[in-house]
Amino acid sequence: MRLINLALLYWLSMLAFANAQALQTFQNALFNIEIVVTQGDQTGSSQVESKQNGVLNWFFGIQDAKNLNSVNVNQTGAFDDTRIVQQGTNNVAVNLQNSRQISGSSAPAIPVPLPNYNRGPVYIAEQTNQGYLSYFSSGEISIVTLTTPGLTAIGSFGRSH
Amino acid sequence: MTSRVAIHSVSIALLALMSAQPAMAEFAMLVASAESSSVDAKAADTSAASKEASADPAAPAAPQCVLNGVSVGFFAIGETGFCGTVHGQVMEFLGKDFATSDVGFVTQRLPSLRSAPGGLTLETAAPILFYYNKDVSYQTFGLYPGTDSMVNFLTFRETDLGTLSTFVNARLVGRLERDSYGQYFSFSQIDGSAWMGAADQAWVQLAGLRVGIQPSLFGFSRVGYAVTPGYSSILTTPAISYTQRFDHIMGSPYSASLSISAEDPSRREYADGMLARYASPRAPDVVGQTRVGMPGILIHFSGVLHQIRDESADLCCNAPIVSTHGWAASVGGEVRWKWSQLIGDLGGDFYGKVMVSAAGGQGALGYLGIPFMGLDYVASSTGVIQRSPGESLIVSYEHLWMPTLKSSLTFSWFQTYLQSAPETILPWAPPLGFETSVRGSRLQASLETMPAPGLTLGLESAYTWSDANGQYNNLPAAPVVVGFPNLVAYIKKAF
Repeated sequence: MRLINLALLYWLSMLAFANAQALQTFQNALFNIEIVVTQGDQTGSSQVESKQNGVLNWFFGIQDAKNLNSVNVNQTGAFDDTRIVQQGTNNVAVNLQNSRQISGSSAPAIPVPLPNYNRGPVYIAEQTNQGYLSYFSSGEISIVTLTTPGLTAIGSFGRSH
Repeated sequence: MTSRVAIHSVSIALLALMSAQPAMAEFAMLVASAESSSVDAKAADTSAASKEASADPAAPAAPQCVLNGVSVGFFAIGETGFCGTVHGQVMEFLGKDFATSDVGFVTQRLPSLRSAPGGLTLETAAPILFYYNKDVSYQTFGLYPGTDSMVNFLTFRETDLGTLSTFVNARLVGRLERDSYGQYFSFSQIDGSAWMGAADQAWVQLAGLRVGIQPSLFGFSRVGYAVTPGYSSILTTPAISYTQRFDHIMGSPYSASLSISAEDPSRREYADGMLARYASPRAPDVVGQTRVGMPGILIHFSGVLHQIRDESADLCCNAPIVSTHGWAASVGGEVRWKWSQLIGDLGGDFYGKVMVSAAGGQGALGYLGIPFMGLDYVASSTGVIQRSPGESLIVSYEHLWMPTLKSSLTFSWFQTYLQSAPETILPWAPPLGFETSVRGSRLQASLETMPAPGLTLGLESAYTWSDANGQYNNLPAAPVVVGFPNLVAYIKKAF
């Protein structure tokens, strides 16, 4: 019994830690793509929370942190797809899909919230403790990437001033 | 008589070289040739005087440096038989860029899960281009002083094989720039070298063969008649060129030239290193040019074949290095006139000139004279090259109100189009690709006065428009539209 309590305490503490340190992203376009390939932070933990609100939502994640890999993907769309690979000591994965399934279901369609089509292009990038995070949103598409240094390939160009 | 015409042509061309506008030099050469009939007539009158000068023991030791009995600024270089001249120009300017935002571009190769013989593999593969409204206010805060100054040295002499000439132009171009760390004075550099950046021209020419750093044959006139660049290409680059001239074709006032060159392609690269990265070695760019001149008129045609040899797909994804070619072509013309010859007395003593230049191509955006708002190509992870098409246009008019006062109006425009071959990110999902178009235009107005010989004061204003638009997997993205004015005041002193 004591062993179970210790395990539960450990698990709750890990979840609390995950909630405190999770990297959160929110996408609200017609087509949302998020790609996560990370080895976690310096403590060996990777925590990601993703919300995708559109018609077509893709989440593709590979977490390879040695201590904790936690991912929470909440998708609201007509065609949702989540693929997660976790390699570590403790792995937690939650995937909520509020839409009808892509195939094999005759369930009635759930109304899809309209994305904001008038949103101008936004590009934000920063170096987080879990890797390089870039967030791009323009019109009907949104692309988010979180990548480790070995899989981060970025360039830029433009007019000089 | 031939040498006199040559000297006359060179002297006019030199004046154009002072202003670093090779098109002007060619204009002067061709027009001088077209007008050489009158020069010949004058030369006939002065040939006797020239002989008298030669017979005079007190005459200069190098009579070839005297044109029509009058020195035109050339001096004899010892007993070498060479004539030479040194000229230069100092231009200082003060500008204000009012842009607070501009179109920014970020490129990325997205991590992709691929099916491989041994199972799934993960690599940075799929090319993607993001465009957005970029804050540049930290770069444009305050005024920016700068300089564009040069000194040049020309020598020439006649030989049995034709005129042998050398030309060196050292040019210092720099201005105050700002970034997120502060401000600094930046000089033009080539491969990280300010010395190379200052070597604007350095060539040797025998008859029509020219070797060294020289103006590219592709360009016609970069800036129109404004002091800051419009969207047209002019560039100096290491090259070997040959020009064959045809003067007074069939007794007409028409003259023409045919030129071909092998040029260093590295100064024309529009690559970001991520979606487009040139591999070495590459073949030189092959440039051809035809110009036709008659009194007051110059017409220009040029074209280039530009090798694309990409290594970005090799570096990211072990794809083979792929080679293909881009191309570009240009047509331009310049006409000068005296207004009174067109509209009578209403024209007064005003003079006008207009130049038009258009260029287009695919996979060679560096030849269009446009801002760095496009890539020559986009390479897929498998090495498929998507060459980017683009076009540019410039129209410029200069009005000479009086010998010491002139103004100009210039309009420039360009567009480019970039796209990727759609690529798989997840084996079970549709491939992802992008298409992006970029357009820009610029209107410039300038006023220039010469209060004293060789001293010029000028003011130029400009307004720039740009927009980017595109789609991803046929889903429309939102456009970015920007516009901003610019002001430049300058002072030039020629010597």
